[in-house]
Amino acid sequence: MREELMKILEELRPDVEFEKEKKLIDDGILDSFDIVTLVGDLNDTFDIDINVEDLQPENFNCVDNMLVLIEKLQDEE
Amino acid sequence: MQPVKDFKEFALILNGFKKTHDKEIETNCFFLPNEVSAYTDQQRLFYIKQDTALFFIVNEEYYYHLYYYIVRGICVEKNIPEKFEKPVTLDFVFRLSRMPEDLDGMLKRWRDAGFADYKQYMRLNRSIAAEDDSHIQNPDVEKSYRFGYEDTSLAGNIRKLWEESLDIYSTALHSVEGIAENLQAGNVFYLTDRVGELCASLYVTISGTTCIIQHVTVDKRYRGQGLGAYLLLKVLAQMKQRGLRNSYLWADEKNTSAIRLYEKCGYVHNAMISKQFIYKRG
Repeated sequence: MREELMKILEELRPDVEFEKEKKLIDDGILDSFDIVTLVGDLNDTFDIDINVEDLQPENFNCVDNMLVLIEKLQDEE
Repeated sequence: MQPVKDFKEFALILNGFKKTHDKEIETNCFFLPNEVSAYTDQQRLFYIKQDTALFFIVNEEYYYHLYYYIVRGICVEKNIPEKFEKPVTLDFVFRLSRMPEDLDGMLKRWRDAGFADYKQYMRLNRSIAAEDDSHIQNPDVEKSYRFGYEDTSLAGNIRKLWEESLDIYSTALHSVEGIAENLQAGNVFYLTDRVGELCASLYVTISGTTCIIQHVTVDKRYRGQGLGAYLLLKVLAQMKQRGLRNSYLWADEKNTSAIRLYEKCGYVHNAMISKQFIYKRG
């Protein structure tokens, strides 16, 4: 799952070192446009449904938190 | 058109619509929860719900900005913009490397609904931390103009300059009070001449370690002396001191002199586009 996520993130923003960054949203590295694009990709790839309530900064601040969100939503499906 | 009370209501409306129509929905909306709350706190967010479309509308001073969720392939009703007493704008944001599927079809749909092609903006980026700001020095400008960001008595003149220089249908302007607050907060910067007359101004919003530069304006009487570039570089140096790392701005693709100025200051096009439409009655 991590590899797939990394591939999506690198395609979205090749200029960002995702493994290093821990505050992708709080630092403004990903903006709302990136997030919505990312959400579409994550929904399609992992067959989940990320709702607007899930778009909280903490869920997208780093790769680990995104993985937690994906796993949580997959368990709910 | 109904007001949206808060983010909770926004989520309820949106989720209800999405649930009914599964995933076959097109949208130009990319609000994050904090952005929705900012609009609802100011009572500026409204919605219109139909069977196959959901519209969110932000009330700006001179226009309404429209965000939509539409079931794929559905035509937009022609009467939608007629409900508004001000011009209605909408935009599509996309990366050139990743154009939306059926972009032409989406654009045609809005033209068919009575919207006219309007501005196209391009996004330019610049790293702050890595840049050398020694080239800010401009002795002629330095000698004759004063850089500042605290004098709230300039708020009225800054508002006038922005209103005269910026496109009022694609720029959300602050009130004089809002500008004064932003001067106090260190988000609005300006240059004045020796007698204290306002010459140039810009506005900065900060998101984490990224600053978004907006409203870069030089009074027409003072153009052609490099004041815009001087002000912008001065502000970027301030942002660097505040620990910011990146900066971006949007420029009208037809405004070649502004784009030249930004490029001179180290900005590069990051291949993101905002295509705008407008509907004006009559």
